[in-house]
Amino acid sequence: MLRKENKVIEDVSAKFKIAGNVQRERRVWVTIDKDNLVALCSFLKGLGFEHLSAISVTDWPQEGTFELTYHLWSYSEKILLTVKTKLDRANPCVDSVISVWRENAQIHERELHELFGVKFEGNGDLTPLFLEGWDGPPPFRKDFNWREYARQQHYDKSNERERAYYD
Amino acid sequence: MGILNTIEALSKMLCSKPMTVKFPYEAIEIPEGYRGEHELDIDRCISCNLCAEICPNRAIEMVELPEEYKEKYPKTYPRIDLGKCCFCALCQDICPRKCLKMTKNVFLSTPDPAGVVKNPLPKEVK
Amino acid sequence: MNEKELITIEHIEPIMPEDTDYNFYFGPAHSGSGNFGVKLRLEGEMVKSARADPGYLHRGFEKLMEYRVPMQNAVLSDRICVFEALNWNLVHAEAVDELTGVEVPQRARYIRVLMAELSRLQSHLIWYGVMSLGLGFDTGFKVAFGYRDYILDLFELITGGRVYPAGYICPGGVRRDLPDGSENKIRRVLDQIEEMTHKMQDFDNIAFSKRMKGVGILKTEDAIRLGATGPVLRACGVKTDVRKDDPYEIYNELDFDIPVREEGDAYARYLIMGSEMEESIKIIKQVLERIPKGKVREPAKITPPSRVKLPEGEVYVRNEIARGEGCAYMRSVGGKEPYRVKIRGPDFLHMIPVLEHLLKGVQIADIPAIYWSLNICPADMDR
Repeated sequence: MLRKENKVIEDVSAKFKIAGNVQRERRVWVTIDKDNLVALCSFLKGLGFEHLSAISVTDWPQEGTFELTYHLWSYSEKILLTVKTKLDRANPCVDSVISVWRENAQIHERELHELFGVKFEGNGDLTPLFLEGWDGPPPFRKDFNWREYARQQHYDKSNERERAYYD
Repeated sequence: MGILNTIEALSKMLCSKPMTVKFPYEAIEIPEGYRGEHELDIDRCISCNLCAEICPNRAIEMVELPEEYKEKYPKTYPRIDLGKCCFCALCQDICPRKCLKMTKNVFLSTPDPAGVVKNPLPKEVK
Repeated sequence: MNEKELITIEHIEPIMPEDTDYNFYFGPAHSGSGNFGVKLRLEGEMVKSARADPGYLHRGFEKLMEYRVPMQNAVLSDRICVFEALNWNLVHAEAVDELTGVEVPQRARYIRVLMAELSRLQSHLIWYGVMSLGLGFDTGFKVAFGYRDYILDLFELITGGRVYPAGYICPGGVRRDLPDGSENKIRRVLDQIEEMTHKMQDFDNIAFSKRMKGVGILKTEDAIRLGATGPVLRACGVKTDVRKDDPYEIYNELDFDIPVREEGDAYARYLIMGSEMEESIKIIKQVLERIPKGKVREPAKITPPSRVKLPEGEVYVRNEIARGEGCAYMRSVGGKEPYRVKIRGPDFLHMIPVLEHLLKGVQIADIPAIYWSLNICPADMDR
């Protein structure tokens, strides 16, 4: 049981210093520091992980970090491997993985740049995707107070039905 | 060849039943369990506040009744804003006394904005 | 070529007086494009470059879900994409179930698969309808939506609402049991949908097929590089389906095929749609025979919001929704609400990289065939 998954962790730890565990069948989680991220990703693509399913950012304001997760799927081995790495929240800068997964990674990084403010170096197209004319802070961060923003921009005091949302 | 296909398709379609019914003279029957307008059985309500907590859109607010009914119904009862409601029936499922139910009434459009908010009232008044 | 700055995008430039090109907005208010705009740069009738313009349906689901307990999120999850509301309900419910570690009853698993496959059928009928509408075949649109209405009547009977099932597939099982007599009604609707698939196969119009054969060809290595999944990838020759490769619920006990074609053009995607509908009918018939008796939700009553607790952990759930691979990443730190929810929809990749790649160098008249054969829905791109 879980032979393939354990073998993937062995192959990766032979070349990189990682912390990995197997959650259940077909799910492997690996943590690495951000300087070796792109090298690990190229190595994983060579192992067969050619489909980048998603990139996501989690905001940890008390620890002062952003945590990036890259979810990779291998069509041949049928394993989902997640690579996690941490960035400094005050200066969130990381190398882009578009050299490995091309346009697939580019569009994910463009969305995360707009919503969280993470800078991906090497990505030529980080223009805004969803929001037009937005000049506030990146809206999906935990310290963006969306209730205050809505209260100032959209609260109509004379309408009694809106009271439940803003008080 | 083309004209034969057309005649065959035409005769088949002319003799078959249409997919539609002539509303409002006939209507498709609405089944039981449909999530329509709410109905509150105020005598059974215990003011536990669970319906207001579970509502995802904060459409339910617990209010007191007008002065003339306060003696018989002293606690707070749910007032539902049908404009914010998404008709998900979570309030019906969580009610421990099964007094908030959803009926099959779907004709809710009204030109009067004040009529959108459903105040809780005793049965005799309605 | 510099490896780092590899991808350069041609932004839509303003038109100079000496240009013969022009900008064309296949825009959000167009009746043939949904809530999504594409900016095209045209020379005569040929497209030189395309730039997608998303964001008209951005509601911020990922942040909304951080302020609601899982049962309320189940109601919210069917608005991620309304065309396959029950499939997205299933994605969210599986994520929460895996986090809490609850044992979903067997009867609930079978009902979940039944509803997910019915939702896939009606989503493919919408696909057929809007593809016909885009090509000008109005009768196909009306017939497809007529047959879809029979499935919506089934949803009304089982879940209580025609289009939005309001979190019918919720964490722990399903919200209510199948009513009596629903099995016969489901079988009757399946016969009607089989009638529709026969009509689709018999329909062989030269104008319809010539507009789609050889149009919008997507090669296999391009498809994998651009991130295509689902029917779009299966039309390029890759035999993959999340229900077989990464099985969830009870799909590993059921017997069904995966239709694959080699050509990669719009006609191949159209043929795969018809075959997938037949496979879904096969799956539903097997489910109806094997469905056991028992409970339908664990725990049976809804927990009040002040007493909900999600254990700490993180999960990544993959599902095969009607359009491709729909995934959810959920992270919890032990509170009432999830700490972070990331939703990955297939249309995020189909509408931006794949569409911009396919629209280069085509004529305007081919744009509807390419656009609608990708089966796009702006809602799960913008979330």
